[in-house]
Amino acid sequence: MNNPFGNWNNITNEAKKTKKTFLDMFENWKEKQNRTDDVENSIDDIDGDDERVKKHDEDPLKELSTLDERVKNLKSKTIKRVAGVALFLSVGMFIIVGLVKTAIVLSKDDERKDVPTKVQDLKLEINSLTKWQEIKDQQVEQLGTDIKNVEQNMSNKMDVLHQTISQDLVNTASNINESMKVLQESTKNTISSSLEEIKTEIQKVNEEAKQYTDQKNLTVAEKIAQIESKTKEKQLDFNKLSLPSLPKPEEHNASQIPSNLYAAGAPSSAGAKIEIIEEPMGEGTPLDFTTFEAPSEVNTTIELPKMTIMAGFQKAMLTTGADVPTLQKGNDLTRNVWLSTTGEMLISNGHTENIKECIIQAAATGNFASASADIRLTKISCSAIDEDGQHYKLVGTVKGWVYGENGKQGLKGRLVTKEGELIEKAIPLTLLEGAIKALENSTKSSSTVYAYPGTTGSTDMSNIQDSFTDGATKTASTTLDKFSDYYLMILEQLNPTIELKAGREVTIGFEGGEMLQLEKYIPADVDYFENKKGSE
Amino acid sequence: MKKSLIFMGIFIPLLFTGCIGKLINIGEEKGYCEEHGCDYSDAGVCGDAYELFKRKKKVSAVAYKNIECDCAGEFDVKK
Repeated sequence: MNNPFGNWNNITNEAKKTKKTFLDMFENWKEKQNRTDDVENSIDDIDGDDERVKKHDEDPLKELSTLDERVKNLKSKTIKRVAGVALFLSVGMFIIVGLVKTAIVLSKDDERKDVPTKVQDLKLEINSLTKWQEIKDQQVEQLGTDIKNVEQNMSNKMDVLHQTISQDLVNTASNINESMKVLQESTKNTISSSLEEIKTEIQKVNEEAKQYTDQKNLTVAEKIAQIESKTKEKQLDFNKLSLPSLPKPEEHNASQIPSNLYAAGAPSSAGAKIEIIEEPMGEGTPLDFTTFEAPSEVNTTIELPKMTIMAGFQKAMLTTGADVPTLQKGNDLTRNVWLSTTGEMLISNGHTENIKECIIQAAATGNFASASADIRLTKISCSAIDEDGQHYKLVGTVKGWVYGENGKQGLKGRLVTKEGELIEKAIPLTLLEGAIKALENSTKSSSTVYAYPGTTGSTDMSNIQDSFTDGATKTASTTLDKFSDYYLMILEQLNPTIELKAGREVTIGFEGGEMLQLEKYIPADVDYFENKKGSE
Repeated sequence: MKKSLIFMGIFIPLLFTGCIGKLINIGEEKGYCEEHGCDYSDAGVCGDAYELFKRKKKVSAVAYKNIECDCAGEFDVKK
């Protein structure tokens, strides 16, 4: 292969040569042109001298015009020359460019000539099958070797991968096993703990259920006993009833039957017996006198049970305190206190009653000696709601006492006496009263008149004064008496009191035996009509 | 006369102190419970009855705050 750059260098050299030749030619042409110009100038100078001479001789104005013409001619000449030079240069440049382009085209043509020869060589090589086969075989061998290498690499990499994966799997399996063990242990622990908790809860629930059932059984048994006692009370005593005796069936004869009962064609009843049909009157229901009069009422009204308050003990809280007077007489001896029951009531034989959250009214009387207040129960008030939302009340009088925290009857309280106040208020009054009495006595002693013999005993002025003071002292004493009465009234109220504070936990001891009727009631609701409207 | 006056002057103030009263007293001055701190005369709350009734579960903790009864044992009201 030929170097194309070698050709290009040749071409450039040739172009340079042509350029040199062109420049040489241009210089030669320039020299020639200068020579021709010099010659022409010399000719012109000669012509000009002649003309000048001629003109100088002829006219100076003409001489000037000729000079202008000359200038014009010179200008035109110079323009022509410049244009000629430019033309020459452009032509020269065109030629140079054309030559350069032809050189380039020629150089490219040289390269084209080389290509077919190479193709021919190749053709020759391709046409030879053996060579092609050899090349192919070589290529195939190379490919085989490459493939083998690749396979080896792949197998190696796969082995490495297998190993790593197996190791990872083993590690993960061991980890999973460990975590599973931990999980199993934790779950076992939690399950065992929860099972234990559940067991304990179940046991508790069972115990509570047992207690509840026992209580319920007891209450049910008591109710049954009550019902039985009621039924016994209400059962009819047949011996006491004086019902008219029924006629015996044998006594009825055909003669006694009225004749109008014999209809035409009717079978004769002579000799026939009247049959008594017994109708059942109910199974096992005890007779009640009320059923005879108004049997319909029994079906409509449901009898609510009567409940007995047995003798027992009940915890309660003193909801209201009191200042209970001790040395007072009359109606104002007691103070009302309220108790609120808490917890269940313990009665005899380990049984219980339920008067939880009931309110008990009680009367407290003061005991100066023990500085305590004795409290007696007066009323109980309980409220219950059934499943339908109906309200029931259990209200009645009860008997009982209140026991203090020490287990003693009565509640100890702070003894509040007001002797000091009493003395403080009484002393000035007594002093004043004493002073008035002293004044009264002095006037009495001074008002006595002693008449001496021989004197008339005229003591008018002194008598008037005495009578005035006497009157004044009397009025003062009477007013003071009234005032002291009023004071005494007040002082009587300043009795020693037992202060009972609220919130104390006490025990109530019921005497028991009171039967309280459970009754339906409607709780007070001032907004009843508004609520009714709202519900409508 | 002077001796009797002096005697009265000493004896009467002693009566007021309660020393002679203690000597003269046949029985005990205080009960067993009171003696052992179970004096509940100041127990309770100086609160509104309505509020007490409304929140009666909280009352007992306050009502016996300052009372330390030794002889009640496990049957103490607080417990």
